[in-house]
Amino acid sequence: MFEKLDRTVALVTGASSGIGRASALRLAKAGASVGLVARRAGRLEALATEIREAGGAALAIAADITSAQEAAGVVARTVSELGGLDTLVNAAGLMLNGPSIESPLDEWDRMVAINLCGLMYVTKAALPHLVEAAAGSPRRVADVVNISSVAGRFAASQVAIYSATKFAVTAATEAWRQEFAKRSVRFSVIEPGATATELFEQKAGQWEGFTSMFGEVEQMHPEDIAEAVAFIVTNPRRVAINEIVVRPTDQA
Amino acid sequence: MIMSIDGKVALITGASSGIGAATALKLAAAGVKVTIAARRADRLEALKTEIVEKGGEALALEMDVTDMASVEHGVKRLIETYGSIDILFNNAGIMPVSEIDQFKTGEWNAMVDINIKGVLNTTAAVLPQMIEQHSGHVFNTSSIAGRKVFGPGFAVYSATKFAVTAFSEGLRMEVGRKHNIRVTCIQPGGVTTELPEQTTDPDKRRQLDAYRSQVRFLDSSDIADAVVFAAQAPAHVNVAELFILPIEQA
Ligand SMILES: NC(=O)c1ccc[n+]([C@@H]2O[C@H](COP(=O)([O-])OP(=O)(O)OC[C@H]3O[C@@H](n4cnc5c(N)ncnc54)[C@H](OP(=O)(O)O)[C@@H]3O)[C@@H](O)[C@H]2O)c1
Repeated sequence: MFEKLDRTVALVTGASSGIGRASALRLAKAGASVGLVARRAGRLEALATEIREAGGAALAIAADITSAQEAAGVVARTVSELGGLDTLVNAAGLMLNGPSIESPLDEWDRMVAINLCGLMYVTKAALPHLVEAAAGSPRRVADVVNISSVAGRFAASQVAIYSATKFAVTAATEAWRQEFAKRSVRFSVIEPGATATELFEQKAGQWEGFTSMFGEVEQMHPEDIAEAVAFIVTNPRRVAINEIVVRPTDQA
Repeated sequence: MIMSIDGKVALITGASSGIGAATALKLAAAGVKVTIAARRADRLEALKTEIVEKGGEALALEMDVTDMASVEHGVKRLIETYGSIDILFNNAGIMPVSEIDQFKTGEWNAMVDINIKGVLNTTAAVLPQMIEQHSGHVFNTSSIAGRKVFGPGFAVYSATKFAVTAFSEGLRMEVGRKHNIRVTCIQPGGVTTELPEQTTDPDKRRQLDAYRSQVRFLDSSDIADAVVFAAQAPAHVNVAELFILPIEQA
C-alpha cells in the first residue's frame, strides 16, 4: 500500500517554520533526503541537525526564493548535492490581511512575490528534474505538492490579495496536473484551514479578523497538514491525490 | 498524527461491490465494526464471511437507500446491535450514461433517487444518533463529475454529483462546530468497479469501455485507503474534500 521514500529527494520551501517545517520532518521520516529552503539560515541548520540526529539526511539551503535566480540556485544545489529531485513541496508563504484602503501596497506586493512568484520560480526550475525522476527513478513517479489555502477556494472581505495568490496556486496546480499527467509527475494542492503557525503573526490583528468570521476554533497543527503531504507522496504511483481540503472541524 | 479507529462502528451503503466493499474490508481490517448495506443480500453475506474469516466484525443489512422505511429499519438494527455509529459512508450510487435527447427519464429518476435522495435518507436516519453522541464522521462519495461536467451523456449524473458536493459542504458547515461531526466529500476519478455496467446505450457503453482500456483506473481499495486516511485524522481535523484520480486521467 503506502510506499517508502528511501532513495528519493524532496525539496521543501518554507522549511524554517510551520507547515513547511513539519512537512520536511515527515518526509524525512518516510525516508526522503530533504532540501530545506527558507531565508532564516539558523532555523534551517537546526532542523537539518534534528533530521540527521533522527537518522535522516538533510541539506539546509538559505535563500530568498522571490528571486528567480536564487530559486533556480536552490533547485540546482538540491540536485547536485542530494542527487536528484523527486518531490517538491511549495509551502513558503505570507499572509498580510486587512482593510484595503489602509493596507500599504507593499504588503500586497510581498504576498504576490512569495505566494505566487516564489512558487512559480522554484517549480519552473524543478520541472525538468521532476520529469527526469518520473521517467528514470525506481518509483517512476514524481510529486509537486502546493500549499494553497481554503482562501484559494473562497474569497472573503479584507483577504483580497492573499486569496488572489491562493486561487492562482490552485489554478496553476490543476493546469500543471493536466499538462504533466502523462509524464507521471503528480501535482497536488492542499488547501488548509486555520493551522497554528507563525502565519497569523506576520501582521497584528489577523487572528482577531479570523475569529470574528469563524468564532474561536481549535486550530490544526502543522503536523496534521504534513500527514496529508505524506499521504499524497507515499500513495502508489497509479494514485494521484489532486486536491485535499483540510480544515479544523470547528471552522465553518 | 494518526488516530486509531479500532472499535468504531461504521455504516457503508453500496457495500455489495466496488468502492463500498473495498472500504468495508479496509475499515474492518483497522478494527472497525462494519455494517454493510445494499440490496443484493447474497453479495453482502459473501462479503461478511470474508470479513469475519479475516478476523473482523460485520453486520449485513439488506437495505434500499431510496426507501426511507428500509433505511430507518436498517439503522435501527445497527444501533440495537452496536449501540452507536461513528462513521457513515454514503457510497451507493449509479451512473447510467446517456444523452438527454434519448429521454431515458427512468434512468434520470433512478440517479436522483439513489445518488441524491439516498444520501439524504441515510444521513437523516443516522444523524440523530451522531448528534446525541456529539461525534461522528459522514463520508459522501461525489465524483470528478461533481466538479466538472464531462461531455455529452453525463448531464444528469453530473447534476446528482454536484448536488452531493454541495450537500456535503452545507452539511459540514452546519454540523461541524455545533455537533462535532466531520463531513468528508470524496471525489474519485476512474475506478475499476461495476459502475459502467448500468449504461444501457450501446455507444456510450463502448466509449466507457474504450476509455477504461486507455487509462489504468484506480482500484477500489485506493479509495478505501483515502477513506481510512480521513477517518484516522485527529478529531479536530476534518479532511473536507479529497479529489483522487488515476495518474493519467486528465
Ligand atoms: N497557517 C494557516 O492557517 C494556513 C492556512 C492555509 C494555508 N497556509 C499556507 O501554508 C503555507 C505555510 O505557511 P505557515 O502557516 O507554515 O506559515 P509560517 O509559519 O509563517 O511559515 C512560512 C514559511 O515561508 C517561508 N518564507 C516566506 N518568505 C520567504 C521567501 N521570500 N523565501 C523563502 N522562504 C520564505 C518562511 O521562512 P523565512 O521567513 O525563514 O524565509 C517560513 O518558513 C503558506 O503558503 C500559507 O499561505 C497556512
